[in-house]
Amino acid sequence: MHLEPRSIATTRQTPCALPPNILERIIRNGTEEQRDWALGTLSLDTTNRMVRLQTAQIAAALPRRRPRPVPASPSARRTIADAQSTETLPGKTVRTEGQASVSDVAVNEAYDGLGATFDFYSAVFHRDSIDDEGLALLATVHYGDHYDNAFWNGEQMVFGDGDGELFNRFTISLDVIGHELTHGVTEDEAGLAYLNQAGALNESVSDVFGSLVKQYKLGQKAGDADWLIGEGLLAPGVQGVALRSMKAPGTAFDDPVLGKDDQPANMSGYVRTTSDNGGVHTNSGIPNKAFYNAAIAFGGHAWEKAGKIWYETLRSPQLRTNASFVAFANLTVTQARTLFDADAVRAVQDAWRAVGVKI
Amino acid sequence: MTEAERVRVVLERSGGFAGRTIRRGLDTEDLPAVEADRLRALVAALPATSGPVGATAPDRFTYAVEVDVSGRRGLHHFAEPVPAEARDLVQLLSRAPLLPASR
Ligand SMILES: [Zn+2]
Repeated sequence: MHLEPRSIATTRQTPCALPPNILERIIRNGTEEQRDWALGTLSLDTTNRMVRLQTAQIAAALPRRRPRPVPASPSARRTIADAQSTETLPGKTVRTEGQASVSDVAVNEAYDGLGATFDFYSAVFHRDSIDDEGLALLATVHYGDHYDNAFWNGEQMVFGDGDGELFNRFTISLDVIGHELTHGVTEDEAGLAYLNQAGALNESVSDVFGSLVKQYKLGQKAGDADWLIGEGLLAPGVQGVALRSMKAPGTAFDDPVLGKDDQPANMSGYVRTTSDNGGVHTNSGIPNKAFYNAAIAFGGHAWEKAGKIWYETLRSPQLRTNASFVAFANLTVTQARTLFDADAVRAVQDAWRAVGVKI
Repeated sequence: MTEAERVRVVLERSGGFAGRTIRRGLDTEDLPAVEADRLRALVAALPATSGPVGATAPDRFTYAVEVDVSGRRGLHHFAEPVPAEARDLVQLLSRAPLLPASR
């Protein structure tokens, strides 16, 4: 449908002649025809500057999803399945919501980890599951043969048992479960590309909320948390305490087979590489440390201020899928101002500047 | 490739939750005859690939398989899901002895 109001059609010759806020109001409040026209007008000027501006305006004017009644207290709907060492998903159902624990520790860890992550997002951010629309949570354990990984496949969680040489079972760390489910949240909210700086931000967001799931479960304040990612995951004999440290990136392990933790804590150590989708698990150390800095500056529970700022940044329509560290950082500052006060703005600015992100 | 040829294979696995590059390898000279033959057959069945690939989704693996058949070298790149012709070799190498990390 593209019916142009004749009287205003001439403005097409002069893109952006109407102040953007007027266009925005038309998009938000106009009739369907007016909205089509306004969106068409916004897309006439195709310079990068205008495209950037317009994308943000259109996104700001169109709510991500329509408001809907929120159930009084959303509760998790969990199903745990067992792939029995195959790579067939989802496998045999072994525990469903409300059922008692079973003898298989991986099943119970997955069940509890999904529950803790659901509870965190629900209680802290009033988010109803991964998609904020009450998605039922499915996890498969014992995936593959000695499979050294856990992942969110876009629809469900998958956990391997680990090879026992380098890695234990991947259900062992609550922050790993929170990390993986957060990839689902990021995919739903921001769609951050999994490449280079946007990919490192995608990884960092998963580490941030994975760690917060654990801190929330333990009732820890920022100063008392270990800020480790994957504690307990390294098999006996591997020299290290975890996979990553948000507090001190680059110090989590140093092992002959695993190598040395090479996460930078500052832009001066940013790693340019083509492997690992542009070093997404390496350069995430920089935004991880920035979040840690902010959380420590705020004090108290890290999810209350720093977590809230990062979460609303992830949901911000202005966050582009190919966001750089600087772009993300600037949006956290905007959110600090919107949600809190000038002190919060300063704390967030300092947190990023300390890791060499120039904002 | 003849029965007697020496075949060495290194599997380099990158990405995953850990985001670490892990190397494992096999050498026909270290294997009993039956297993050596199986390794030769699996290597011969490897499909040609065109250069490095990125992970298909967050925290999924990518694999580079380095092959040396009596000095003739080849390199194959796979992302998950690994194609059927390469799956058994990747599976076999995933249980092979660990090699030191390249620093
Ligand atoms: Zn991840």
